[in-house]
Amino acid sequence: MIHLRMIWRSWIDKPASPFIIILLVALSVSLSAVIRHVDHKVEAYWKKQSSGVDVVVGAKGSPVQLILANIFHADAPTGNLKPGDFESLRSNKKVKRAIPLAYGDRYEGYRILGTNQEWFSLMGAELTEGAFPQKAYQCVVGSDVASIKKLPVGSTFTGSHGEVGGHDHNHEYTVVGILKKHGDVTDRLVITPIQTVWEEHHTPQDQRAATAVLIELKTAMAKLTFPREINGKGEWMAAVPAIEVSKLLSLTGDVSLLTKVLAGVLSGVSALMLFLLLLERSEAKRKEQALFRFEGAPSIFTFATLFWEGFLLLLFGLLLAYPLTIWSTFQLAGYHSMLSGLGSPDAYTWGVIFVVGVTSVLFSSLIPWIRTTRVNLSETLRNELD
Amino acid sequence: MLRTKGLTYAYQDKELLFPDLALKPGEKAVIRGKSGSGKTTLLHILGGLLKPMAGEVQVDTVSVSELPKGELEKWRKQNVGLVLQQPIFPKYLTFKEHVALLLKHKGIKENHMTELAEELGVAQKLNSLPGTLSGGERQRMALLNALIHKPSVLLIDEATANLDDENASALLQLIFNHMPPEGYVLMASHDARVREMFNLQIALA
Repeated sequence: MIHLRMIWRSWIDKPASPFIIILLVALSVSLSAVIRHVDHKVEAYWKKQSSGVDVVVGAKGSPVQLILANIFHADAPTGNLKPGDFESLRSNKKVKRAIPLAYGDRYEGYRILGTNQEWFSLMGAELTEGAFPQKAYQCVVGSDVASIKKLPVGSTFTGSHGEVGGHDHNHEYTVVGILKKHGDVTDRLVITPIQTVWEEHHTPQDQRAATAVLIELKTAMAKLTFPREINGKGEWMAAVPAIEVSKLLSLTGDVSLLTKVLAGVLSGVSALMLFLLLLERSEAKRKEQALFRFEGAPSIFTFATLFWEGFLLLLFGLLLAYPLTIWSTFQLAGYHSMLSGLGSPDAYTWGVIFVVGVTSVLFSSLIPWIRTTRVNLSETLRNELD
Repeated sequence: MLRTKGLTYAYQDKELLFPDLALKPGEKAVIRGKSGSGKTTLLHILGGLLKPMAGEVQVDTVSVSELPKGELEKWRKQNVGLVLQQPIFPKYLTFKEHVALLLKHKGIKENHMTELAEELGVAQKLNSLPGTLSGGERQRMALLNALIHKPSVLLIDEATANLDDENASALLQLIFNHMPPEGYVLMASHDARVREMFNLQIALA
């Protein structure tokens, strides 16, 4: 307690240095926590979105584009498969489940995805109200589409062709269900039976084809051999989401590394400032510390004085960093759908930060403490050199 | 008895040779000499803050100069008090907190702080921080710190230099009144006004 009183009074007397260090600690901790948290969230997002899909088969083109277009719905399709391709893929002995996708229209910027009932179970999508579509021009809408475009069950709308700016179609879609918030791209889709897409584009019966097929395979061995088999035929292209997602994450890795370096530099500056403050304290209190030693204070007493000051600076920094981090993640969550529901970093992250912080404080206290133990009592406790 | 024999100490550019001392219990000695003659150095050797280059220091039954570091620190914290011309205090502790801490470090449970503070006329200031006190009050607080554990050796380093005649005598009288009867008082001083108050005068060349 005596240490805390001494430290508190010194902070009240000269608040500038502690205040700056607390602010630096808060900023560096908050930045580190947010970066680590966002990294995890983005990685989890990419992995979650593609979980359950072993292979995507589509027209030849870029594998990354195939994955982006058919799993993340963030790109144009590579083209269409041919009629009968879906049936051929579905009947392959290695395939456990094949889900056809067809699309090409949007409703006010939101993609209208034609598929079958199995897509909902693959994506883990559940209804919050209404029912799944059973026939053409019935649809369910993702939670964001429903809330932003105010589309309750029973409402109707018309789609427009292609990407934004295309011509309007005449046939009305009827909303029969609304999906629960899912925290991914599902929230921003309009999902309808695949027949709707063909009918909307007046596709003759014998030319009806899927844009791509999401495939779940039966065995681990099939996961290794099936993509090579498909790509070897040269007719279609098979892309493995896990591989393409890893490529995408490695592409964004440079930006992530830069932010990590920035957080590291800021943390380094905070630790240095903390160290310099403790060093300055030990210099300024040479006579005091010599007096304590003369009076019989154990060596640990001086160490405790330095350590407690560092620990309190860390603690106040963390207390400030916590709401700052919550506020930052809240802001980021609204910035991009990938980060929706970002929440606060978990207890483990805070635990790691705390342990690293306390270790830094320990090391920052060591050198100033060693210097105080080496102070010559006789030289320090005299009026003048006699 | 407090005895010294053949004490020397060397700085980089000079060697100090000190006269042998012999104080009986309760005796008070003033150490005189010009600046640089080694008054404070001798005090610090007697108080165990400095190891002499050669010679012996014996306080009662203890060979202070022979004690290993740990034992010397233990002896010093139990037996030595120090009063400086410009007293040092922890800046952010009240006097009461500092004395309580000092007693804790010395392992002393008996606390007669309030009584001693009253006798020294600073009882009202115990809850103050050092920065709020006048020079005279700080000097008496320094005495409180130096005497609270009833030291057997009290070292005074030029404590009267900044005081007028009346206060210089009063300060020393306070010290003498509160020292244990068997204790030794040694004061390094230029101050000719207070020499008469000491039993022994030690002149350094």
